[in-house]
Amino acid sequence: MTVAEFLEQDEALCSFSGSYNTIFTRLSDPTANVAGITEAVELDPTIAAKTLRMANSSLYGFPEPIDTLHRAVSIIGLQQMRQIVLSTIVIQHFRGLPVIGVDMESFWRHSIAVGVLSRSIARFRREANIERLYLYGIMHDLGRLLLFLHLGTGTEELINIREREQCLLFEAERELLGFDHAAIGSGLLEQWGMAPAQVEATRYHHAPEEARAFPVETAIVHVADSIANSLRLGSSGERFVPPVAPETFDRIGLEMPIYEDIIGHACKHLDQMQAILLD
Amino acid sequence: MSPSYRTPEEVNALHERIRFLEEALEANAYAMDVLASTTAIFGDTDRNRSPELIIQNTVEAIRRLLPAQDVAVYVLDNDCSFNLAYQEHPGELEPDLAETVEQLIQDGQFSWALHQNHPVCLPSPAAGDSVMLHVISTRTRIRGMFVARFRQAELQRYEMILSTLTMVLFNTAYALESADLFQMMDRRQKALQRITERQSRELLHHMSHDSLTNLPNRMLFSDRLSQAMERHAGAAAGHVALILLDLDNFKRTNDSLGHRAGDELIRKVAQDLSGLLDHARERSGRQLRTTLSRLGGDEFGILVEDGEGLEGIVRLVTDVVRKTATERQIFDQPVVSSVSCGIAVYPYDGEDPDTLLGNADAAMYEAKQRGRNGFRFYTQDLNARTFRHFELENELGQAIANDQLVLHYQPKVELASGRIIGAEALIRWQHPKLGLLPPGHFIELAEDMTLIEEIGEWVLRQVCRDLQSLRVAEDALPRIAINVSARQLRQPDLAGGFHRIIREAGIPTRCIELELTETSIMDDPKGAARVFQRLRQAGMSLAVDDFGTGHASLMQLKQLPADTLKIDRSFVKDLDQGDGHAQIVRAIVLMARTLGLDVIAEGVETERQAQLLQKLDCHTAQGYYYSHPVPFADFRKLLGPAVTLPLETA
Repeated sequence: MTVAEFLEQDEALCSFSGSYNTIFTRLSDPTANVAGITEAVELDPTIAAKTLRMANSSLYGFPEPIDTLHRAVSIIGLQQMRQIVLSTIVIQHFRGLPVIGVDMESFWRHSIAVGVLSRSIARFRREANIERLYLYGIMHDLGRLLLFLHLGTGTEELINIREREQCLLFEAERELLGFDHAAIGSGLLEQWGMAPAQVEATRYHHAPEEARAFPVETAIVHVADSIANSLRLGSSGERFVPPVAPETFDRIGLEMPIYEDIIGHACKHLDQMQAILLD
Repeated sequence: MSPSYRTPEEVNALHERIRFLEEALEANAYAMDVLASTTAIFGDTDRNRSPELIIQNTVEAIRRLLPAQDVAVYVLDNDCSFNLAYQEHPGELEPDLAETVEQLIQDGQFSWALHQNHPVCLPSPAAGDSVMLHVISTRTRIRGMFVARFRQAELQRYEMILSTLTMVLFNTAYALESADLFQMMDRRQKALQRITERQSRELLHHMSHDSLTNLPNRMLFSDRLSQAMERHAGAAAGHVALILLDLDNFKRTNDSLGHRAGDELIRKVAQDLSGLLDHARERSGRQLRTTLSRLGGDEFGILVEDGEGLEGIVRLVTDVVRKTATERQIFDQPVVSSVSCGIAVYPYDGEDPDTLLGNADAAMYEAKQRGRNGFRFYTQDLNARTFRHFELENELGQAIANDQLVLHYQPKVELASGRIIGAEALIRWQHPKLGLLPPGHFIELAEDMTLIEEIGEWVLRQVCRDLQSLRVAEDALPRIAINVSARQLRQPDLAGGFHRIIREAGIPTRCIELELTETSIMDDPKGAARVFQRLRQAGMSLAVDDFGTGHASLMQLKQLPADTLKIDRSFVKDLDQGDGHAQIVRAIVLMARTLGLDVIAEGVETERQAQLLQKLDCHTAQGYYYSHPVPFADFRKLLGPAVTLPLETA
């Protein structure tokens, strides 16, 4: 079985439903302006409320309360808002699915942690659009959700391999299927027409040395994933901490002591973010 | 194949989309263009390293991307406060952008925006307007803030170019940072360079200077000597004189008063010497180049380069010897110390510095042998010449004080009657060793030494004293002529000074006649005429001496307020030898009469000359035929009993 075949099996899994789909389409439209984005987000009251709470969270630290979505969009920025809303939709969409073999709460805590850590690394790198990395982090393990959904009770077999071999879960995936969740996730993102940087960062987040076009983005997600695992900030099913490829630190280009600040900054906001996104 | 139908809304949306994509394409191409040109703001060369220029280039680049109503740039200074470094339209729009930013700073939104590494758009107080803030920062440091004001409706159009804006401002931040670093580096480098330069200067100074006197030491002196000799090698004129100078009996001072006193003496002598040399240099009009050095112990070296010749050097050494031999207070003890100098002159006394130094040393030793407090040249010939000169000069300076100058009087006679009507006063120097010296031996020297004014005054006073001692009625006093030199003519107030002396002595001014040679008058005819005028006003009479030997024109003669022409002895001498000279004398007399001047002949030695002069209408004369110049006592006798009344009988 190939990744393409895998993704074809269940079309419903790979597309949004109802208002999420409308919002997603509208966000992906490059011609959309502030008013357009605002209107789209307002289509779903849950998404709208979460978005507004995000904008008012300590992560953005705006000195005054932001009371309208319109204001939030213009203050946080059109591009940035697209990524924030998108990540909220993805979480909302996949949370409702019946997944066996993984604690959904823990999975999303891990994903949000990787998102916030990636954003934090990008922030310390003084990147222009750090919400981009937040989105990459949140969605990096999406493939694993599809995998668990597909395997259903067969997930047990995967866990058995992991226990027997005492290996990392993605290595067990490769043994069972011939490909891992990273390949599935990146395939899905490609189908959705996401940015090439996100596709590559997702595809190689366990093998950052293979990222050719976007090595820095990939390295950031890779490092953030390992930090989240080692700090046990939720779990997507890994028992061990995936090892960090040393050259990724060089690619990111930050001094080691700065990572303490990065983690500190991320942890400060993490609880609040999880509360907003997961309640 | 099924035709696809679109609703008008869908077609509109598609049109809208195409327009957007075209716009986006254009904007992207434009952004690339701007990015390619941002090398101008890198701040990596000397030319674009000033913060002002970096900001200006930044605004120019952004202006091509962002059609905003107004833009401003704030820069973080060293005290961590934001200063408005640039605003495009200050005070033109309402409300002013700077004021809006002030408000944002107070609300805390400004500082919030500092930590967003993307453009943030905040509502402006003006309806429908937005204020965009974008931090200017490197990865590690915030350097400023970019602010723009624009119509909210245009927000979407800016979306496309905002990441370009971020890149440009990122560039700007690094340019400012590197400009800062370069400036700091420059400052450090300059400071370092200054320190290094100062230290090496000090080191060089220590190595080449004596620590006690701060004068050049032997090393530097030798170097300067070599340089001076090189400069003068092959030069036709000028000398390099090396003067070695040693304190006489320095060891005694050292032994009796201690080494500290010895050091103090050395320091004081060094001070005096360098003051002396400064003075000499100034006086020479910077013709003279000198280097003073302490060679060690009590030995000094003076290097003198003179473009003129040996005269300046001799004068300098004379000064040095005379003025350093003085009493100084050393720790409240009077210490008398004289110096001995040895002089060697390049190129006569050596072709290389070592030979020159050795010979100067030998000369100094000889000076010591000859009784210290003096100088010797290494070359004996120079010694003989300069020593005599020096001695004479020295003695002449004291001649007045020691009463060694005397006046002799040569009577002036009325040819017809043989009656003495006056005399010319002539100076003599009664030298203790050389005997009676005529003026030819010392007047030139006196002029050199500027003693001539003093001597001239002495002569006048002496004449007045002699006249007073005659004790006759005023109208019976003879008229005495005094010679005035060309140099005296240049004295600022000669006439006033003379008049004062004569008046104080109570002598009628008509009794004093001043004689000037025709040649010295012709040196400066206008000046002479001016002085003559004033002397004349004071009542003195004036005579032109040696007439016929200079080149006075009739016009000048006419303008000169003189009373008498003195026919030069050369015409008188040959008067009885032939006809030619008689013609000249006749012409002179005729001319004098025409101009209303008296005539007197000098150098009359025979009776025949006296007779011929009378025939030629010249009625007064002086010369050996009548009398040699004689001391005043003899002259008084010649004047006859009529004027020698009381003294002779007393």
